[in-house]
Amino acid sequence: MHIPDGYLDIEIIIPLNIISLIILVYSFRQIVRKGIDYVRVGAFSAGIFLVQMLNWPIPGGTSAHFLGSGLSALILGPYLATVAMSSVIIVQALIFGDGGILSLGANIFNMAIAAVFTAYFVMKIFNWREIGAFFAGWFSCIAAAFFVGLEIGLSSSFRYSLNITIPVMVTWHAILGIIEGIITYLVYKRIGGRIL
Amino acid sequence: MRIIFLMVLLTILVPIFSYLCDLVNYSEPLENVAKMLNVKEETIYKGIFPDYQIEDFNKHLSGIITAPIGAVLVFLLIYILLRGVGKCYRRKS
Repeated sequence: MHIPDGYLDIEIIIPLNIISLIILVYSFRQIVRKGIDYVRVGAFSAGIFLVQMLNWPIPGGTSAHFLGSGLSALILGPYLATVAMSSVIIVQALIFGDGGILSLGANIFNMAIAAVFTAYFVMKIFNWREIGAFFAGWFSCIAAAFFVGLEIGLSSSFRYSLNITIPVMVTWHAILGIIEGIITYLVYKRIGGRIL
Repeated sequence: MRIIFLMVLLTILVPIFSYLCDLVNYSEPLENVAKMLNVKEETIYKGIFPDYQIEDFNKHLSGIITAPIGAVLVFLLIYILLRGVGKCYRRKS
C-alpha cells in the first residue's frame, strides 16, 4: 500500500503533502489538550509497526499485510490514530525506505487519514457495536486502496489508467481486507474500546 | 509486561512470515499494478535499512534486528511528539 517515489506526478504530490500536513497539525491540536497516556499510545503504535512487518504468506501471487488504521481509529480515536499512524509511516519511510520521501504526504493521506476516518465513521454508523469493528477494519483497507488507485491512476507514469488502477486496488483489498476486518474485530473485542 | 511479551512474540514471527512469503512469491496489489503497466520506482532515498534488511545479513533474519529498532523509533517519535511538543503547546496557550 506504500507508494514509492516515481509513481506519482508532482501535481498530485504537492497538494497531498499540504493536505496531510494541515490535517496532521489539526489532529495534533485536537489531542494535545487531552490527558494522554504517552507510554500506552507509543506501545500501541510500536505494535502496529511490528504487525505491519508480518506479511501474510497467501499463495497466488497477491498478498498484503495488516494495515492497522481501522484498529487505531477504534482504539485511539481518529485524531490520535492519525498522529500514531503518521508516526509509523514516517519511520517506515525514513529508516526503512518503505514508501517514498516525496510521496510521504500521499501515504499519510491514504493510510493515516482516509483509512482512519473511514473506520471511525463506519464504527459510528454501527453505533460502536462490536460487529462494526469488522466493517470498520474492512472498509478502512478499501478506502486506502481506493485513494492509492485514484492517485496513481491520475499520474502520467501510469498513463491515466484509472479504469485499471482503481478496480485492481479496490478488488484485491476488498478481498484481503476481510482478514483486516477479522483481526480488527477480534482485537477490538479483546481490548474493548478506546484506551483514552 | 504483557505488551513486551507480545512485542517479542511479533518480532520472532517476522523472519518466519518473511520466509513463508518468499515461498509463495509475495507481492502486493500495488506492485502488481505497477508491473502490469510497466512502471518503475525511482528511488531517491533508500533509508538506513532498505526493505527492513541489513546489508550482508540474512534477509529473513534481518527482521529480528530491524523490527525492534523500528518499534523503538515509533515509540520514541510518539512519546517525543505527544509529551515534548504537547508540553510546549500547552505552555504557549
